[in-house]
Amino acid sequence: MSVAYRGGGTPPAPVASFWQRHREQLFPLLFVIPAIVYVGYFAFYPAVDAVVLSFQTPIQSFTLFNYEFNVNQGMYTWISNTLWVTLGALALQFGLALAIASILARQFRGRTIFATIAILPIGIATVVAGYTWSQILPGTGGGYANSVLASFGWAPVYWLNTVPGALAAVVVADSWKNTALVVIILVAGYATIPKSLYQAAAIDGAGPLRQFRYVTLPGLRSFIVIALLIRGAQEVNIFQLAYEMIGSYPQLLTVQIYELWGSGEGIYLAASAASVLLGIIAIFIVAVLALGARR
Amino acid sequence: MTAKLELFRVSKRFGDRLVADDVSLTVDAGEFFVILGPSGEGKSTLLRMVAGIETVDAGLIYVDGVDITNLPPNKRNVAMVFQNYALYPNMNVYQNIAFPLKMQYFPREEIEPKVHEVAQTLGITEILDRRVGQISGGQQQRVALARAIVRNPSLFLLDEPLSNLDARVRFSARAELKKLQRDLGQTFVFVTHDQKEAESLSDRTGVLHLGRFEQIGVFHDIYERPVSRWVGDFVGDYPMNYLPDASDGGEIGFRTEWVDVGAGPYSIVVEVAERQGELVSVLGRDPTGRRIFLTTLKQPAIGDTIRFDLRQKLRFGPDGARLDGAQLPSRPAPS
Amino acid sequence: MTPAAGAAPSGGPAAARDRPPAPVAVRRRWTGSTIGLYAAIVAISAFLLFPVYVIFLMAFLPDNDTIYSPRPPLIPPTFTLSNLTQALTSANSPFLPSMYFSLEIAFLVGAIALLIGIPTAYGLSRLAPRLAYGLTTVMFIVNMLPSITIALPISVQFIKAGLYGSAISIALAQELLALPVTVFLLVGAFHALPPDLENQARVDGASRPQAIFGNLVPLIRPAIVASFLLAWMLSWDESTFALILSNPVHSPLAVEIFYSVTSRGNAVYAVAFSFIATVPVLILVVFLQRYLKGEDLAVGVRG
Repeated sequence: MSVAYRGGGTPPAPVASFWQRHREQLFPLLFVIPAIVYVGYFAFYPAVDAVVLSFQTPIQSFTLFNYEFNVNQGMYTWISNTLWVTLGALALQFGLALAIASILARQFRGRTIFATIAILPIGIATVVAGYTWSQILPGTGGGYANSVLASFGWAPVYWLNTVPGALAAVVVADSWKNTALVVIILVAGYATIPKSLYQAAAIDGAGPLRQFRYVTLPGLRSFIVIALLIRGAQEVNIFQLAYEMIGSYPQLLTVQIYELWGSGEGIYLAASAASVLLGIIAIFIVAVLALGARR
Repeated sequence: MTAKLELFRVSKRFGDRLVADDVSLTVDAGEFFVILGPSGEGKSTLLRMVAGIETVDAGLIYVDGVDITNLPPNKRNVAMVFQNYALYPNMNVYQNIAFPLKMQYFPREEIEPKVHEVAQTLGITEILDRRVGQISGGQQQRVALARAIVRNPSLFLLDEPLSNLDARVRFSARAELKKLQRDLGQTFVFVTHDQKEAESLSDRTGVLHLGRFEQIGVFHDIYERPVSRWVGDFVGDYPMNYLPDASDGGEIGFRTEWVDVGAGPYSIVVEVAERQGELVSVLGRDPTGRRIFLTTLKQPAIGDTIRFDLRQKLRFGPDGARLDGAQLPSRPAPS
Repeated sequence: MTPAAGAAPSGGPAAARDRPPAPVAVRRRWTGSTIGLYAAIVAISAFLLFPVYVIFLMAFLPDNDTIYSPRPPLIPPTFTLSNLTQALTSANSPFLPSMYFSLEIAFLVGAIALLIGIPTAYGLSRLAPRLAYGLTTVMFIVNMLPSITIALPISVQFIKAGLYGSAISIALAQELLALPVTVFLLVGAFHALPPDLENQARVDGASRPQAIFGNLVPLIRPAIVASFLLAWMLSWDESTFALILSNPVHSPLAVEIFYSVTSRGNAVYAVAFSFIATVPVLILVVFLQRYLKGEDLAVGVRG
């Protein structure tokens, strides 16, 4: 019989380089360095640069002039319009996407066809979608939506004649284009909810509505957070689609940035509006991450 | 080529968990060494450090006197069979076995005879062109072995390679593995939590507990003379039985088969008696209330008193270490 | 199947014996909730399909019946291919050159997505979970940064570097949107592989890069194809970076269409051309759908 050897003192440290000692952890780190360098240079550096530019003019290295100028031009309205569109589009998209995903979670005849229709708008380019909706919901009293109303004998509607009406038109068009992405994420989420939970809930006496409230929504939670993050940020960024439909009135932040950028020395003014946009998105990211981290 | 493996004071920490605690070990050339221990006590990590897919925090590893501590796995000439066999799913059986040779840039005309020879040895010639998804668990295990053998490594590491087989196949696979090791004459280091495998396969066994070898020796010796209560309880079909030792406040430990039933200084009252084949397994309590497992020939009734004597017994101190002759490796006070 | 099921309740005992539970189940499904289900499907489908139909009308009807009509007809009174032929053949039509430019950019975006994305995804799948989570969050934040904010300073940098308007400069900017998605998909795929596969290859004599690119990457080929196509599509559709970073005389298709419908050029030609250009993308979407609803996305979200 023998017993394991045990000596005293400090064990010998292997004579090895830093790399040799930590190669198992360092190696994967090496692989992510190109991506870190890339996003650092192409995303974070320009973001900081935009903020720096926003405090400059061609002759001044630090000034609040750009912000003051834009506020005088009505920047608070640009911001509130942008937020209304964002909130409206998120509400419509998530309502629609939850409905579509719930339908796709069932088995029925024609499911494949409906699934294809549901994601079809992804294939239509945003610039084409924007123009098409400008022809469906124009401010002229004409357009395809009014053709449909006319076929029922109803009077034409001037869709864009009020600010809420114009923003709502943008919301509808944007939701048409982008609900599909939310649907894809939610359908993936549905696939992770065990069917037995629904059976258990049904046995416990929960109807469809309460099954949705107590089984579906909790099961989709992390997926909804992800989809909210992705879509919310993109809604604030909404640009060409809105520009094609309503032009530069009612003003949205992105459209104003574009217009300022195009006007002579406007890059500094544009940078200040762009920094405000960045700030809104930063707040949004922090809020949703905090919400997702809770529980 | 067969080689001696030496670990010298190897330590490894994962976060605040010490998975290898100053481990030293010598495995002789041609030896079948089994590392035995419960799950999650660092057996696999030890093997992975020898293979080079984990680095060591301290200590040295030698194969045939050569320090390999800092070599990457592909420079070590050490073969390893993983628990789930890790067969390459995009290759067929032949390509799986040929892979290590391809990595060493053997020419095709040398690879082919080698693969066929190994396949012959393991009886898998007929399945060489099958996809790995189409073969049984037992065949997968042979393919994994073949892939390890084909490159003629200096050392074989096997991480619970039998645990994924069903019970029937496992028994014959165990015997074949032992025969294979004898025929090859190679050094095998084999990790398992199954003491039956340690018993039938090993030349020597090391019992690993909390990142350290608690006892190293021939399996039978470990079974008969465990250095501690922990080893005694872990090794064996039944945990050891213990009775208080009036002489020094320690305990007397004994295995079920060391008991002579009928007369003697000890007694239990029967609580459960279950016939299993020829013998009856009896669970009872001694007068101080300790649970004792015995086997008898006749079925006793519940509540009967059985008297017995011990042919053989071990004495343990209050700290769990065996008193008569053995030494526990010293262990620093817990901090 | 449907006739048999419908006939069964009033049918003879033989029919009932053939398939006893089916009739009851089918009949119950056609009440209430099923009618509601199909009503919802029809309503949603109408909303989703109507604009596609409008695009079709604008592409194949004379502009007097579409964008210049005060009450554009819903049923086509006539068809024309002239919008399309004008868009394709007229001497100074910008659409074909800009489509080639878009194709070039989109392939670059797809290629760079894999070039950076595969190593990154591998690294993230092997790093300590906390670190990997942090880096994944960084990638997510990149995906959410407002394109127009990023594009302004980048345009200044590109002008200085003499890269302004080149395919690679636009691709590098659009990659900000494509790379996070690619990484996200590929991390899920790497996670789905048994971890010992790489270890086995290394023990068998492969260096670590050999093990990754020789043994692991071939196993995630479906995910690689899917992420290439996804990156490709994101670029094809992207118009903000494209608008600000491209030279107005030689711009990608999305930007050319944007100009055509807002300032210069012919809107109807643009719609007709994009209708044709959209067909391959639609096929791609249908193909991608099979993959995108798969488990890998779920793994990625959870992980």
